Amino acid sequence: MKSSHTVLLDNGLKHPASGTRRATLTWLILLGLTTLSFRLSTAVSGSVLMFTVLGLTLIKGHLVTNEFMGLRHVRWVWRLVMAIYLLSVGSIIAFAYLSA
Amino acid sequence: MTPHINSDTDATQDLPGDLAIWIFIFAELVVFGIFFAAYAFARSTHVTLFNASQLTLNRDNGFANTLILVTSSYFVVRANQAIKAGHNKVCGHWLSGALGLGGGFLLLKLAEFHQDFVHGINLSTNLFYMFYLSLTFFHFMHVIMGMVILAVVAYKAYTGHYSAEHHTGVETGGSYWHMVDLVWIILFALVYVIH
Repeated sequence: MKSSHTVLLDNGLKHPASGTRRATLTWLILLGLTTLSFRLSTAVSGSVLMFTVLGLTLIKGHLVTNEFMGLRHVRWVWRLVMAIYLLSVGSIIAFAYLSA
Repeated sequence: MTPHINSDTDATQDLPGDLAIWIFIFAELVVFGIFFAAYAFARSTHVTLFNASQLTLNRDNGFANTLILVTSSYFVVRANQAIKAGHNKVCGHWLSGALGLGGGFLLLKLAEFHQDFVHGINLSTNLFYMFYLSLTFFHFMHVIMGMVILAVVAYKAYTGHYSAEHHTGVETGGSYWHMVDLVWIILFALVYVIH
């Protein structure tokens, strides 16, 4: 008999409860980082704000792709592609803002 | 030997869902990436205009919508976990919750668009609003498309279409929804926060 525990192991999760805890923790971190970014926008400005918020956004992007999309379970090349995308977008935005 | 096999399976699985949706997701990410770059470089030559116009945005709505989309993404993760445990109805409930939050996102965004149009703001008002309205409306359409996909997946979950072993549809729909969330996270930082 194939239990749900076995199925979850097949999908890379060690235990249903640990998967839920990890997802919930990721969600709470995302809410916290979003609130921090929003609060920072009224407290700081300029390149400090830009670099801080971009950094927080890259962390959020990494959490969404690795934890929510499940890329941490797939071949490394897909994680690399997504990391290159996020870093490229962040770098282009930073370059454009610094060249203003 | 067994531990070796287990460590391999942790990092050598294929992408979740259909490969076709991932080709679509990467194509969408490239399009949004070009849009973000265009916004950033346009701002670099019109800093005063962009900063002044940005102050007129309803930033509270943007913040609330980010919390809403992140939470809806979490609901989709829970739906995936439920179907992997063989719980079709629980999966459907989580997806319905995600759909409800998607509806909330659309309502808040529509309220923002309505306020803009009431104040006479449109695509030709200035360069900032051209980008702001285009980017957010383009994303708005993706939210609608994501909701249609999630609604179909939720219906199939409620009617017992999926199982613990066969649930590619849930992963496919979920992956698309997470992409919609990811794009908004960058858009929120770029358009609403950084100035």
